[in-house]
Amino acid sequence: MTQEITVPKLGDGIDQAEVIAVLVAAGDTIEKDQALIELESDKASVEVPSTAAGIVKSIALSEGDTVSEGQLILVLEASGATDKSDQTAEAIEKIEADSKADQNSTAPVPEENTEAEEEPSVEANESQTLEITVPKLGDGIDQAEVIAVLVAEGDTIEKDQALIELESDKASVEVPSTAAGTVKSIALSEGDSVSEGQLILILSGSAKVAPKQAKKAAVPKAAQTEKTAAKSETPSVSASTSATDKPKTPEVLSGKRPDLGNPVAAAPSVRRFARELGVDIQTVSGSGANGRISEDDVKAHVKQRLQSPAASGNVATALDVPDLPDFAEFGPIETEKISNVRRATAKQMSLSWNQIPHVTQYDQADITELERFRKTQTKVMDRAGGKLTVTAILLKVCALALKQFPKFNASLDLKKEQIVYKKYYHIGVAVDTPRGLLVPVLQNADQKGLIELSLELNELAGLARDRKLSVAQMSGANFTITNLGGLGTSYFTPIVNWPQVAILGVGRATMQPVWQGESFEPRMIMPLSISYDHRLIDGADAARFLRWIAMALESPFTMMMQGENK
Amino acid sequence: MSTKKTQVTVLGGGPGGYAAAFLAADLGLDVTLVEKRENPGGVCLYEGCIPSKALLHAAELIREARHASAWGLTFAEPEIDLDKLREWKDKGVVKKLTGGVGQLAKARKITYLRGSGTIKDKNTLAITTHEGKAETHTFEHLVIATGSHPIHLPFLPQSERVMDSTDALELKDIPKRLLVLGGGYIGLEMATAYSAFGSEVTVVEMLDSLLAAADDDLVKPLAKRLEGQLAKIMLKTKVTGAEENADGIKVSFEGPDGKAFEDSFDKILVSVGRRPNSKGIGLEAIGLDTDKQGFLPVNAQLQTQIPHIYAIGDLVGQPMLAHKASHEGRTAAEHIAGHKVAFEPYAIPAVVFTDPEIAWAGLTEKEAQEQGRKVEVARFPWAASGRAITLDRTEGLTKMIVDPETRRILGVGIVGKGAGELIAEGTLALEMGAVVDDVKLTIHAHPTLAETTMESAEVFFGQATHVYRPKRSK
Repeated sequence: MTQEITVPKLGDGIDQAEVIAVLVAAGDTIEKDQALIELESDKASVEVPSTAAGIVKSIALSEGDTVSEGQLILVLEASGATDKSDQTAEAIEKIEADSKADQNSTAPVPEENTEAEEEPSVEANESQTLEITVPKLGDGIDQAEVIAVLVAEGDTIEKDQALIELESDKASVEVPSTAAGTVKSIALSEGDSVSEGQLILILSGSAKVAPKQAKKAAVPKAAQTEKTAAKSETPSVSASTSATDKPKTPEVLSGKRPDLGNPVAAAPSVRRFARELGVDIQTVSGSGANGRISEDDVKAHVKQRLQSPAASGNVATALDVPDLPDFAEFGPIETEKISNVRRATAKQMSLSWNQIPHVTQYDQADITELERFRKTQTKVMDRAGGKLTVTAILLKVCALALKQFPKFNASLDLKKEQIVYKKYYHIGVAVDTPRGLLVPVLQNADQKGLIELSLELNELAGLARDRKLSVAQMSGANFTITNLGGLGTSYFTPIVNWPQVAILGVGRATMQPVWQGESFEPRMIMPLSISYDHRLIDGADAARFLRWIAMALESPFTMMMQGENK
Repeated sequence: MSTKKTQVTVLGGGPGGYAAAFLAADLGLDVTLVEKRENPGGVCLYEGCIPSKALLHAAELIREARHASAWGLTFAEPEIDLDKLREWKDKGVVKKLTGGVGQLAKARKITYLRGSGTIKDKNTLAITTHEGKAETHTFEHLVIATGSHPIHLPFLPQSERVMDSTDALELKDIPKRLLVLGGGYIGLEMATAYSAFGSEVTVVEMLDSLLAAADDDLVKPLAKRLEGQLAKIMLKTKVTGAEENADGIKVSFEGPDGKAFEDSFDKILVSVGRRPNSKGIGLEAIGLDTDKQGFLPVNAQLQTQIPHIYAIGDLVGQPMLAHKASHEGRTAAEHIAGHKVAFEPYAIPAVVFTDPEIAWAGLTEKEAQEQGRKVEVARFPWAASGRAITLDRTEGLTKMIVDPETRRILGVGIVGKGAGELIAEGTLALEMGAVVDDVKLTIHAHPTLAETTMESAEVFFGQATHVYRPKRSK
């Protein structure tokens, strides 16, 4: 059953009105009295309500039409039954179909679609070039140093071929090419500091565009320039600013033309003020309605930034340290630029030292039996392709200890006044490398066997020495083990790696005479040191925790006596 | 041969160049302005914005006088003394204004170097002075502000009958039949003026609408009115050739259906766009490349790849508008003076000085659609404006393009009498990051056309005093 809804009487002396808005679409379910269209006559503008409820089958009007009383607005369908013989309805359907076709031909094709069509096998012309840029470097990493450029101008390269090697604070990665082609020019050189989006090189020739990259960077640019070129031929005034207009002026130096897609709510004077102070207005939080930023907000932002060295990005240098004396007065000196790894370590250690009230306690474990057991496993480990190390055993023991003592697997969130207990047991292991201290993380150490832990630790340590660790492989630890036993230390005071709350230091085990009730016996004694955050952990907690670890090393069955903490 | 040295040299004395020079001088720098003409002003003051507005004012007066007969106020048909009108435009307007700007340059102790300059190297210009002397001029900073020129169509004959906008503004005669090639703002403004002076004007446009960048609902009232003013508007139509003969110029067209046809005119005005003046100014001598369209790339501080060489205005990109150039010029000057600044406007208003005028700033509905951005549009029809009714000009429309989430005003569009003046409020609202509430809660004087801006903000809430259009519940 269908019903036609027509234009009602428009008013005294008003014969015609213009449709300024169509408020429903075909397929909509509408109520009686719901507004269908908006009409504007000489003086008044009115909404026309529906005289019935139902589903809109087709709409006979469009915006801009001039209508008069009695003219068909739309056809409603009361229920699922369609009267196919209804000629009017059919005619309307046709109109609707036509108008849809019209829309399709005039509506701007969404850019993605165009690209999707062009992408798959487009071999770029000789003249076509493709810019390859630095990808996202990882969370919290803004900059990295180019340590090697692996291709040269004129090289023909494959997609996914490594182009450059980057080293950020801790990780070093190779950046693969997102397309194949010939290297036209290289924009970087070794030693450059780069950030995301920066140009690496320009590819030309038979550049086959990788689909993903095409959508992201290369094709839109080309498409846009073509578009603007086409536009400039037409006598149009294109004047308002918008995000799409802006790239018409390519940016050549540091500053980008502002992306006006979502401008922050700040008056021009405030934007100028922020710029004079060297503040990126985008980072200021506004106190006004809808986040509007005032001059005071900018001032408060600067003040806060000055007061919290942690947020300023470089803790080590933010501290007010007096100038160094001129050491050359006393003898010959040599200076060396601080490496990225050293800078990162300095920053993280200062942060930890400043934030955490440290206490260190000491204990020792008799590992005579453990060493005996370790030797019995040589064959098993040989077959697995590795070696059972004390550190691997410590990983397992610590994971279980963390389960037993959840505070040691927690972080302290003073801003929100809460303790965050983590239900996973990732443990970092400090590795000494030629570049400095690196801390790869063994994930879910509680769930892994000693063989698996040994092999994984060995692999991660190798990656660390070869500078191949990814950021992910160094993230997420709740606790750290630092084993200096190989180098001969006994007890020491490690610094807790914030936001962790404890760190275990392991020294070299030595054979010592131990009184065994009747006589002194030679036993392997391993020194253990635990540093912890006294804001969260008390001395007694730490004593119990460290003793538990020592006991587990001495007689593993004791840790099986009690059930696991959930 | 003399050698002069200066802290800031500005090459080109248009509205971008002289604004840069003036502010640089105000900031205490030693400034030289290199310009061919007797006084600063550029295309804008000599053969663009300003003289065209003088002619459009005259045209408006003619039309209003005619229109008044509808309310019983009948004037005789105007007698146009073309020489006098031209003299008023040239002396009363252009000379007065450019002379004034020249005085301002002098008052600021700016060295005005009349001549043409070419870049020789990174610190030197080769100058040919107005008197024909060759000089070199050294600078610490250079602001290149050489502007743009109208595009010429090579297939049209070289003839007095084929004009560009500069020729048309000279107002040599009133052609009986005028063809305006291009339905952009320059073409439509000149069509508006010449039709009022008595020409039978035909506009031909390749695209399917006039003023392609503007929103359709803004163009519509203008298109409707132009139908009454002009002889013909031919859309989707191409000019394929033109031939001059003894009594006119015969133009061949290709219509939307692909069919060819011909028509004869006394004159043709070519207004199909402008190109940047980036050739012949010596960019190659310092290794600066332009993009495919001839624009010189710059950063947000208006610096080229050579940090002490800046470029502004039509030379560096769209939109080619005097007010954009001036703002860029001032930004460049401040940066040279050591201030941390950037060209970062939220909106650059665009105005088409036709009858009715069209103006918009910020996001257009077309752009919102292209970006797939969700917006709400609040329209206030001038039929409900008391002031518009007293002017008997109710075809106008004021609209706000609003972010439905934050109620932030993203764009403002106006068509109607005086739209070019009214857009200023919208532009300020955009720059201030105003929400639509702000405009609604600002008292606007009654009865004014400016009230339509406030009422369009009220429409957003379904609360406009003079429009009953309740907010739809969602």
